[in-house]
Amino acid sequence: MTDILPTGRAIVLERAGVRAEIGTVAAVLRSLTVHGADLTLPIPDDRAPAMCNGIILSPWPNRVRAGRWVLDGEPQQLDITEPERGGALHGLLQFADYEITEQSTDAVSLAATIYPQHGWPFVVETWVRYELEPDGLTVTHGARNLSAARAPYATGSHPYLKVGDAPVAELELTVPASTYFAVDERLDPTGELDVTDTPYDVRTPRRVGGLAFDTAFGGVQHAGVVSGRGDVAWLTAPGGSRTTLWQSTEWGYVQVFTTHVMPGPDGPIDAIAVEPMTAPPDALNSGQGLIWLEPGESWEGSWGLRYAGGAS
Amino acid sequence: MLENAGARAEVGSLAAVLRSLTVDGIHLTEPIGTDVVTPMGCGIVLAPWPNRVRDGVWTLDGRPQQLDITEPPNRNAIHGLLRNTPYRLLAQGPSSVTLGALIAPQHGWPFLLDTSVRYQLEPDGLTVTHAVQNLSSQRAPWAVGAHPYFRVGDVPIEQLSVTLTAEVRIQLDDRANPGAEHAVDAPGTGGAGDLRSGRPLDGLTLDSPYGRLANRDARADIAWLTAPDGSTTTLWADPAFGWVQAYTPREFPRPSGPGLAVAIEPMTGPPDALNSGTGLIWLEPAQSWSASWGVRYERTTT
Repeated sequence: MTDILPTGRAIVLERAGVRAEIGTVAAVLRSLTVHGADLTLPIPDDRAPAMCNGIILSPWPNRVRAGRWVLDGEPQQLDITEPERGGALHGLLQFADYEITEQSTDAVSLAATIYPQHGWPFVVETWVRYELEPDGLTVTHGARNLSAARAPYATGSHPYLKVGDAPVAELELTVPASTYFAVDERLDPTGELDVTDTPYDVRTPRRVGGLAFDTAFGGVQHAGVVSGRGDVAWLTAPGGSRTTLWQSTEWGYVQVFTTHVMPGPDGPIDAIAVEPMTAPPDALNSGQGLIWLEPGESWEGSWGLRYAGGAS
Repeated sequence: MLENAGARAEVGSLAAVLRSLTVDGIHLTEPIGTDVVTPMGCGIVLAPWPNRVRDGVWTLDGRPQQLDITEPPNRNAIHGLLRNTPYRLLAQGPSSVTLGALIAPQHGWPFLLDTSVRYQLEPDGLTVTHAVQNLSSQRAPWAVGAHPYFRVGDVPIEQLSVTLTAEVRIQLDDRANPGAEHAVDAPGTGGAGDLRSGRPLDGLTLDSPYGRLANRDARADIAWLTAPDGSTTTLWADPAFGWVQAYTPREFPRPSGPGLAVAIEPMTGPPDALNSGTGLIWLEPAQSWSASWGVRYERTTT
């Protein structure tokens, strides 16, 4: 009768053992496998993304305090999209049905235009391109300012990472980040602090089962930078298999969110989101990491996931 | 852009907005310039609910649902989920266009709906058909409306009279949420309630939902504006559109400066229908629905 899922129209990409499923709503990454091993927590066909699983965050990731910010002295009030905390969360495209603008067997481009609306007086054309790699996936986010005035922009994505079938609690997380953002009871940032001697020091591997994070990290040291891209977080399974998040060097932030109540097929499961971001929470107010696009100007940046099997 | 005989309409993809409608060059609606953001909801489609949901909260099968707060000053959810959505072009002919938009499950709205709007020009006006199919595995509520501001050509709004066939009116509280329903001629309910015989718009302030319209049994004219020379712009609707919101802002922006405007918004239910259930349409899985309203111009016959 219909092939429209709660995540929109379904797109399947395949390339020599690598497979990804994409949905048009929020340009969501529904699954990613390398030789059958899950790199991300898959979204079932009949479900909408739980806890923002896999969605694109644009034109800002994470929270804007009280949905308010100031543009050239004028207060701006965004819609409140996290009513329980009173803020504006994860941008304006969380439920947008993207257009498919280009598709091949192993790559797809999706686009969505953000129109002027409450608290956001800009027209910004945005796009996302998913391209399979021999060992994973490259995701490129782009934006072009179609407004007559300069426009702020930030972006991110919300994948929950897996390392094949390894229990999430037994994975070890490493994030080479020197700072974290302390937050208040509404999860709005109160300051950027040194991770040294805090529970937020994950520069050396930490077992996911012992973490309780809903935390943005800064001072990210991109490791092994090649062509402007370096590794910013990785999860290692007991057998040595590893899922790695890499980012372009202009993506300077990572949010890590751990939960024990992700809906699973047989009840709640452990899950860990490792979210690439170009800016920290509340960047529309702090200005930190914010990209200002002049009229007609465009921007592109990438992140991706890579899988390496264990020695055994 | 659509044309049919002397009728002409401009439609935009964002919120499937009706940007202009003319018959023989006579404006039947407030036109929206190509370079401006739609002011005050002018011409947009309101789905899957028109007007407000109090606090953005409603209850589905005993479970509270929290919608996004899209009217922060009044802390309500207003005008549905497609206000900032560019619709997809589904079909186009010289005198008609059909636009579609998917409503995906989201905060306070666990349903998947495939919606569309068809604008069909008539020689003397326009027919607007709203349609929906429930793609969810559960039944889904549905309500729809539109937000046209009407005119009779260049006649200043202050010189027009408005007629509403409504027999009841709902009073609103200070957050614009609905209170008691009254007969329009009930004494002591305040405001300009009874518009069945027409009233001059000059000095009239309207911001209320009206029901029990003339279309209860069949498609009928439900409201009209009349110019001093007797020419009229008429809103007609199928019985499904059982309510209108009448709204007369005094600061409607025009190139000539802000002024009085009159919105008469056809709606399938009154404000807060997700909570009251009034006029709410429940769609079973895979069920479809459609209904129409439209605008007609009649010049004076004398």
